[in-house]
Amino acid sequence: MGELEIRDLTKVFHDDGGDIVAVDDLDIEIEDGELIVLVGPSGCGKSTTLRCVAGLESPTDGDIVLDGTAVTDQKPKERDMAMVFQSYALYPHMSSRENMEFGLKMATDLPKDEIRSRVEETAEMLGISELLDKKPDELSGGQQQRVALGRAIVREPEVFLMDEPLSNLDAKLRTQMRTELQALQQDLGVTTLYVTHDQTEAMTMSDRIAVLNDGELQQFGTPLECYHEPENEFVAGFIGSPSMNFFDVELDTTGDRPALVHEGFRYDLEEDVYADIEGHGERFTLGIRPEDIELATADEPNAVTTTVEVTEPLGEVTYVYLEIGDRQYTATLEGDLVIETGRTLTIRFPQDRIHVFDGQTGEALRNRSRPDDEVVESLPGFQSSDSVEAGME
Amino acid sequence: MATSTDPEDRNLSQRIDAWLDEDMSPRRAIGVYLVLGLYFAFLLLPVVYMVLASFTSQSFLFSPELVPALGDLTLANYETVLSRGDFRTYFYNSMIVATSTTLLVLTVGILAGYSMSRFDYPGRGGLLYAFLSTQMLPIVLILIPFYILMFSLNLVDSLLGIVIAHSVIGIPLGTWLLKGYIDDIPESLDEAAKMDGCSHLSVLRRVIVPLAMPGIAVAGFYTFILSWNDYLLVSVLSQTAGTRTLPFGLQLFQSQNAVAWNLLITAAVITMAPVILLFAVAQRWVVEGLASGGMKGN
Repeated sequence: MGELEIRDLTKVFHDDGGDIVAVDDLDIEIEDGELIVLVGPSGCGKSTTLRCVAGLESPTDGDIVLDGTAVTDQKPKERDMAMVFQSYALYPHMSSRENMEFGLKMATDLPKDEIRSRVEETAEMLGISELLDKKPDELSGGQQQRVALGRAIVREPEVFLMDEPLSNLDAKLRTQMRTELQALQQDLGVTTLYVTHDQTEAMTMSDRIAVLNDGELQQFGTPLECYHEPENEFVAGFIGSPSMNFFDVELDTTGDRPALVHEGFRYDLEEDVYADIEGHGERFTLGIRPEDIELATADEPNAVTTTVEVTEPLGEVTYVYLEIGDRQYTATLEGDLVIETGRTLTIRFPQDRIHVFDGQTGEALRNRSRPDDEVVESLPGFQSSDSVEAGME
Repeated sequence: MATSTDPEDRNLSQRIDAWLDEDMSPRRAIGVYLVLGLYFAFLLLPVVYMVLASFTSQSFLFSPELVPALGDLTLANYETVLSRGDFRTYFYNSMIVATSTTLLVLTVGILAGYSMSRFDYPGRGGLLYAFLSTQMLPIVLILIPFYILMFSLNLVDSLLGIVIAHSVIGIPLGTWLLKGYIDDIPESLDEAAKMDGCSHLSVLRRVIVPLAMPGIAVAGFYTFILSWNDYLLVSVLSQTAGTRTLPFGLQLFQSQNAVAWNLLITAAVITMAPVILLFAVAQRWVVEGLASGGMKGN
């Protein structure tokens, strides 16, 4: 079992310049075997949270609970957790084998033979058997990474803690290790708390994401929930690349239909959208993801006429940077569209794809509708789980 | 089939090319080595002459020849010097004092350096500067109050008193040096060790000390030499022959009217030998440098 609970965790650092609240009343419950990613910009408190869970920092307030027992006051070695560090932190004076054996020697009473065979099994699983007698400085970055992982895995802990373990690898290796790490975690079924600032890692690896900012939990949900139904403007802007476009708008109810007015356009609202935002003041932020922006004709309702500033053709898609009201916004258009810089482009924001946030609090008042399971199942080539089973019989 | 990259298979000029830096022309290399050779000859010739002279007689020393013939070499000087009981006592005293001082300084220095590097506590900064400030005053300045203090502690004319006196000088610098080395060891290694089940002391023993070996070797070597070579403090604290150390041994071979140069030189060689031996042993760690292969991104 590895049910981990972070209860009302607060960590305040005392500095000459005053107190710094690194983690503010954080509450997260992690089920056994889940891979949870803590994600957020630098200084958001994600690493501090991980270190509090590991026992390397003592929380100012709150509890860390593992399988129903508070471990807050226990030393790191008593917590049955293993950590993979950003810098790998392999002991330079020990061979890979000694690095992997070290934790078992220090923390358990296992006989030497048992330790040896466990290290060798783990090394084989990770494909590093031939590296066991080498010292860390004889290994490449990727190999060091694997040894560091091996050192954590061989302990067979209840919880893995990973502090940006892939950030020192080159892009290609990072993608490869990401998949391997995910597969490994699923095979081992060990509860994992994973810290990263890379939202691609967060989206692709996690069962659930905890998005943090300024020490506060912004949202805790599955990757797609965070993407499609962000709870606030911060999450909406942080998850997704290129990030969501935001327009500062004011509500105008004087015309025939209520509308959101931006300096570059007027956006008439349908009733259901208006119902969601009614009574929340006059100032809002209209959000739309780049890939949800569609090309339109000038006479369509809510069409916005813009100027193309820069295009970035990536082949599969083209990022088009548009100027609307003196600010730059991004649209992701099909890759085979050739759009010259400086030309005028008319676009529209489909009403079922927009997000509206409270202009004061940033809280999401309206999110785009989620992709429908039924729509997916009706796609040609898609087989539901029932039909797969039927096919196998 | 062997290729030209096999070291066995390369001819001499290729090997010299590989040995020389690619950017360095042979002419430049010869120039650099010539200058270095002259420099070291200047430094080492007197030492070499001293060692040679210790194997010759007094009469040879005053002859116009510089290099003795093989037949002129003798071990008689060593026999004479080492057969003197007082010289042997001084030698043992020096060994005891220098070794004990080194062990004491390293023990205190490692613990203090680790604590100053890793823990934050009130007065830590002040303590560091206090340590540094002890190096700013010449020893002579504190000699009399120090003597009075040692006298009141009943430590005058004892080897323990000399060890403490040498440690007083050695500990501040040793601690500074070791703190600097330990600062360079990434803290994530301490944390990894704690996650692996180590206490503070076992982190120190199993991770910090092995990695700080170059620093420990330098601090130990420095302390040993400091204690081994000290004349001033011993001259004040030692009152009888039983507590004198080797620098005093050199005095045994000169009187008011005559100096037994061959014996003096031999005693000097014997005095020098342990330090050179110690360096030969410690050099491996000093040169090795801090291995940092296991760390990325720091």
